[in-house]
Amino acid sequence: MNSQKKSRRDFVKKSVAIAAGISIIPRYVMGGNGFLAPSDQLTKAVIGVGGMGQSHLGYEGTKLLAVCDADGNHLANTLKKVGGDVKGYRDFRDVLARPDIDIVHIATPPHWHGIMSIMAAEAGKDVWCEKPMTRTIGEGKRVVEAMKVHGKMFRLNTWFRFKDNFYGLNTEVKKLKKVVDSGVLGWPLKVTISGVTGFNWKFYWVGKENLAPQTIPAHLDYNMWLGPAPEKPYNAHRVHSTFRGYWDYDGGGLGDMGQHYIDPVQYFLGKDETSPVKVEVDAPQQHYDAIGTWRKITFTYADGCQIILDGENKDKNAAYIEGPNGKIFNGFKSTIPNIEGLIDSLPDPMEQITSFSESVRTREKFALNEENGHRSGTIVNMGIIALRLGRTLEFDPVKQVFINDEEANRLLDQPSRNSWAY
Amino acid sequence: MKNTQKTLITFILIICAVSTTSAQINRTLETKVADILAQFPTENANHTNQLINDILELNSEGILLFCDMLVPAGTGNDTQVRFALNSLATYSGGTAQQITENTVEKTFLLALQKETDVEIQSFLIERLALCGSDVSATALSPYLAKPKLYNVALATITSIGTDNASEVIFEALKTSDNNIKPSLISALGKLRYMPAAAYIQDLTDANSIIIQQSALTALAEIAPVNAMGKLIEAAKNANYTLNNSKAILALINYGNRLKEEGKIELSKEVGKLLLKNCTAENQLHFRTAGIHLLRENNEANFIKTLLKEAKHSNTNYRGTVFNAAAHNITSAEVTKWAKAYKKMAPEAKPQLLKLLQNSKESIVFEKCIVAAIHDKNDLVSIAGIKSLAYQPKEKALPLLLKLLTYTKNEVKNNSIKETLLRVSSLEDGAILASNLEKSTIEGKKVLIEVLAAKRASDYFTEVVHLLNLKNETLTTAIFEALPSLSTTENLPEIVKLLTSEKNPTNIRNIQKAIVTTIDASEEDHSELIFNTYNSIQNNENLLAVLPALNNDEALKLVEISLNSTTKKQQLEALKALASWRTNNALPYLFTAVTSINDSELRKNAFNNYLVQVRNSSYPNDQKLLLFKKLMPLATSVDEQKNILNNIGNVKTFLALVFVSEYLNNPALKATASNAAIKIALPSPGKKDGLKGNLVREIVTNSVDNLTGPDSQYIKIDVTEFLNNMPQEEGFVSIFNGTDFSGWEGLVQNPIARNKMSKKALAKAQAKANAQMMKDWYIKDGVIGFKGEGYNNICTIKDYGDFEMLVDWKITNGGDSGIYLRGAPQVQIWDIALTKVGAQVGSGGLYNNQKNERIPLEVADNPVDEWNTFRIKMVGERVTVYLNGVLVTDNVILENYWDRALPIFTKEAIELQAHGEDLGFKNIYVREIKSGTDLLSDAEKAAGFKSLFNGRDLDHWIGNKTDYTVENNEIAVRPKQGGHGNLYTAEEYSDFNFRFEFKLTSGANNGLGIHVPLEGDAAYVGKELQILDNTASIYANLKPYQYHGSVYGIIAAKRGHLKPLGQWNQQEVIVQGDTIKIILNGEVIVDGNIKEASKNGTVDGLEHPGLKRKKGHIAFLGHGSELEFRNIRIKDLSK
Repeated sequence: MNSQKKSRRDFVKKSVAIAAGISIIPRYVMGGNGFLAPSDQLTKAVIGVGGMGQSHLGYEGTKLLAVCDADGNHLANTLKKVGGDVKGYRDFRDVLARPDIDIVHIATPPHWHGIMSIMAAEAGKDVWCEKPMTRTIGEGKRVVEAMKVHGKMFRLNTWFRFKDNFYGLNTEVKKLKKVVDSGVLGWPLKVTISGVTGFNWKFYWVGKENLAPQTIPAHLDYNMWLGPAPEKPYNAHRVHSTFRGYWDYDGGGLGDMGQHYIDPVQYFLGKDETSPVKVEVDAPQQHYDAIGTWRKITFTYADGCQIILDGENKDKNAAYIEGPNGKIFNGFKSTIPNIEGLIDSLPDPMEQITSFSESVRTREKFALNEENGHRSGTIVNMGIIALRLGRTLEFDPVKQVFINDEEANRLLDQPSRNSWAY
Repeated sequence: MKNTQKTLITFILIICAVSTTSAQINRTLETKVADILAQFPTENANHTNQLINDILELNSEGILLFCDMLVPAGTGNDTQVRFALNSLATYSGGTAQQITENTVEKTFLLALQKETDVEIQSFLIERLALCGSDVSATALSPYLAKPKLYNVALATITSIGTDNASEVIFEALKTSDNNIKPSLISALGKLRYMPAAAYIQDLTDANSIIIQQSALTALAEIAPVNAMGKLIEAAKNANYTLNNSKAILALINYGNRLKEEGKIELSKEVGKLLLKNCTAENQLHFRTAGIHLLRENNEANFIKTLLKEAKHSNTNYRGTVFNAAAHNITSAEVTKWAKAYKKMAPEAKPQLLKLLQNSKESIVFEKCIVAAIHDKNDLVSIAGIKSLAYQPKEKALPLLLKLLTYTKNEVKNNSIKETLLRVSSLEDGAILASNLEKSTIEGKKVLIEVLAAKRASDYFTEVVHLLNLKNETLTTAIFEALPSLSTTENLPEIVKLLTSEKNPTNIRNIQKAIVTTIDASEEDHSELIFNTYNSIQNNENLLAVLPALNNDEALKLVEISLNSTTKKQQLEALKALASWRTNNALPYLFTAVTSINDSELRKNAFNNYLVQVRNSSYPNDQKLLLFKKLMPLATSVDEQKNILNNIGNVKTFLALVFVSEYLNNPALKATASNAAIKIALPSPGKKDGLKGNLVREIVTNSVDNLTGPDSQYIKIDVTEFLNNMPQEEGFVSIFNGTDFSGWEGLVQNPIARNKMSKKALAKAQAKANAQMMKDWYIKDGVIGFKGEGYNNICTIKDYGDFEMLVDWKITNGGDSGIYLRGAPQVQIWDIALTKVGAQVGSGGLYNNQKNERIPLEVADNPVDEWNTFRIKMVGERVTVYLNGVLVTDNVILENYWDRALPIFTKEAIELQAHGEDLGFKNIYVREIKSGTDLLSDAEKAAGFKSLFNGRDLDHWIGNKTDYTVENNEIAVRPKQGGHGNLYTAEEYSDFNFRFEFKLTSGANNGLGIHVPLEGDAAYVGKELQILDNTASIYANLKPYQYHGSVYGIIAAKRGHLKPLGQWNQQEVIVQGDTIKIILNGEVIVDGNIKEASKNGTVDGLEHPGLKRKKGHIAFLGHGSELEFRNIRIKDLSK
């Protein structure tokens, strides 16, 4: 413990020295791949190394010290792959107890995201978390609070609000932000997310009804895998790569892709600090456990802006963004003449921090952090609750509760199993 | 089954009127329950609500019947029951709560009491989390002591969340096992149940560390004022660090909760303690919590502490101090911070600037931002520059422009540029341009880049003028800006610049500027470009702009350069071809691959050929041919992979066949597998997946070779795809590539052949086969012709309706064709044979006289190259696609051998010989079997007739909306909104009716006999049940409701349906009053309706239809999906 403490102190001293040295500018300021001397290097651990976690092993300018998984096979395969002195853990609490880890990457199924993020912040770690941010709105609020209370940095792992060329739209989000801010489309705006506009919903991420109990494989700590989720008999389809199809852990194509698609919309509509006031669903009846598909989900903001998820790509002429005075279609085709020229002529949007290492070092919030991430996660979770209940819901974006629907509010923050207190 | 609500209600009324016995009521309830269940899951909320109302009408007794149908996981299928019960819970727990008056809740609790299976108990308890009230909280109390159920019970009681619910948990806590205690304590914490506070406080001294921890955490959450001492003591015992007691976290949360409860002074006390005791490196994030607490409690003069804390050496911690300072910052505080700026450590200044950047106070601008910009520390200076983006433009812009007159630092200049881009717009172009002169070289560069970004083309001249400075960096920047700054009027000038420039990067940018400008212009600029091209010596740099002209003359210039002797010229020509805007450049790229020796140029041509094919406007069949053509020329595994990857985007059966040939190649199998699966599976949101046995086989062989990050997901898709693929044969190869299996020589024409005696035919056939072996040969998987005569070969098998794929090629003057059903022909010929009219192209029905014989367009590839036919023949009509282009559109093929006759219904496919060299390969046929095809010889002999031709509902009347034809089957799709039954057009009295049907889970339909076109078939005629009575929702059926039963009259034997998803064969023989039904070879009904009903019907209802002797046969829709096929009948009355 002591030696570790010392090494962190050394780092602080060094960075002061660098800053005082005037002419040496760290690479992160200059952009690029963030090369740093080994002694300065940030360290990380990855929790959940089954599917998405594999990508996290290689993310951006940090040194991997530990990996963790409730599945011994995942762990063994990963350790074989990363080699070196990376240590493997079955219980993430042992990872959080290590003082030499700066950043904890959370790539578990979503039912763990909130609890692990909070516990990481309490242990003094910064957090890089997979989308969707949290499985419930209540957990999202607590993550926001924990990051603030402990002064920790949080980065959600979806990037379309700051990275170029997102999905089918084949354009930079910056351009969309500029054109929306310019007011040329008028107000309020309607955004349609569908295959027509470039964002196909992954409807094959559905669950299976009537699962038969199976023997838990020896390499899997199923109790730990479930963690806060309700006890259900084990079946291989519940876990690894197909967990997305069950409400207890995720929200199907909507839960998993929703934040990818919706977060940049929230950004360019300027709704990072609020939530829709209404959600309407058009969907077949949903099973209590296995997630099904849906036809259309409509979110409406207080000012009339709408986000429409058209699961069936039914509106063949849908614009990606539509306002009273103009439309932007898939591939950035527009009804506004010379829109490219218009966009270029306008001022650029404000800076976003797009390197998490930079965020961690400067303590400036990452472009997609716990606050705006919680808001876009809330849109997804509003959709999920409306789907599960099969009815239109009204939402208070300030109190973050549903209006006149006790049952919807019970789904805002579901109790955890065992003493996973959050 | 009957499911008309009205009838049931009538039924109930009748029974009630006579004598009410519970058995009879149960019977009606059971029927009702089954009828409702059959409709789950629903497609929309309205239908759900309607069903829920139906269920609620059945009251507790009915709901219990639903609960009774739950089965332990893994022992059956109760999916529909669970859908129903969950809907009931969600419906009654929401806004509609009052209408149920807790019936649902009470019934669930009743069901729970009877239940013994843990999983079902959990299911019911979980549902109460939605619709439960205090009633449930109390009733669930015993479950809090059950090891396997306390978690779910606790979750539900916590969700109910009332004081009574908390009390139940509290009571349980007092007597619970130690291992359950932590969960109960946590729940009371979550519910903030004050009456439990003292009890929980005592538990903070428990022996178990886990109980201690949950007690401290819960106590903090409940936040009684008198817990302060306890929580402080615990934190102190933990040395204000994180240990297993988590006391430090509890204390922090306690502080936050006190704040929330308005106990400000106490809350502040916690904050101060944190500040006092958390000083070490590993405690700083707890110190942060203290800072936030005090800040948010508006601690008086806390700004002083913040100012002090902002001097802390730890950057992370300092960051949190500034974040806390930002909370509700006042103008007075801004001033204080601004004044403190100067004395801040350099590494703190950027963080402070971030805090102040949104403040419009002039002190911020003057004392901080201006100072920062001029700071010697670059990090500070950059932070200052960036914060200008948040200041008013009139303040920021002059400062930024001023900086450009003396800064040379690249990193700083980047920040200046970014900030300029944020504060300025096109309208600032003049100011930016006017600063060009006085700025440093580096500054000029920034200005040029900003002008370009804003597309300030008005300042083209000012920017280009700077070329005179002959500064290399600047020149590069100017050329980089050209594409954004040039307009048509600048075209001559930039073309001129191109002729004199030597630097390759600059040349690329000028070329780009020219192309962009020409593209944006509506005029034709060929003259300017060609004149320049011809007037200068080293004109290769102009090749790159020729694609923008996009005309034949430009392409000609490229072709000449391609044959040039200088490598540079050739390379430029290749690049031009690579970006050509039409398909016309493709042949040149292909020739380049075959003819260029230089390996770099060849590789360039190879790769660009693939890109051009991929981006071409050709249909998929043609793209595939163009890709395949390159395969023999690949010189490395990488090149082969590149081709296979490209073919992965071509969604055709032949593409799948092609890539499958590489599945056994160790170096290529992963690539081939990825491509195969991409081809076979449907594209997102589309139903364009391939099907058939060969597809299934190839996909199955590919799936284990998949690689890449998405392979996990793809494997799931593949399983789903294979499960859903219809069981049909699909395309079958009719040429094995090595011998003539399945083929024979042609004997005469079908009419003449039929007149021959068996013996004569055998003899003639032997002779023809010998001739075939002489004239035709097989080499490299191709059937070729080397003879001189006109001896066609034909398939031994005869084909009726089918789809055919075949690749063919001819040489100069070639002439051939494909005979369909023994008759000429889909034409193949060299379009150069204009004397015989071949300029119209191949693929027409050459021998037609009355119907169209000319192809719709010419789609032939040059002779000696492969072509693909996609031919479909259904009935007497033929459709032909040549290389993906529709050339014959559903045209009748006339009978050449006897024009008075329609085309034969079934005959061989023939490949025509015409004396010239030709070749066929990849011959696949998919038979479209339907109608009469499906009758066995015995059935034909016995006089059976097909009632369904596989194409349309010609022999049928009635509901043709929900009954549609899919995959040559009658598909019942009740969600399409149609109403009513599907009836045979004819009426029948005595008959033998045979059909096949495939059920979905719980599917319900019926076969009506002797029915009129109006009325409820089960009563006005007779209804023979068609029902998946294996479904658990039908567990309580009466025997007269089983599949096959004459509804309400004669019971059928149960247990002879095939498993779901398989086809059932059924035969119904009706003669007079006797009905015999044979299902999958088993007699399930053999009875006489008169006999069966002489003492009244089993269901006790009137069946006037029993007296009808004649009527339509009908499929009776009851809202379920299922399929029928191979429907045939023998009329026994004639």
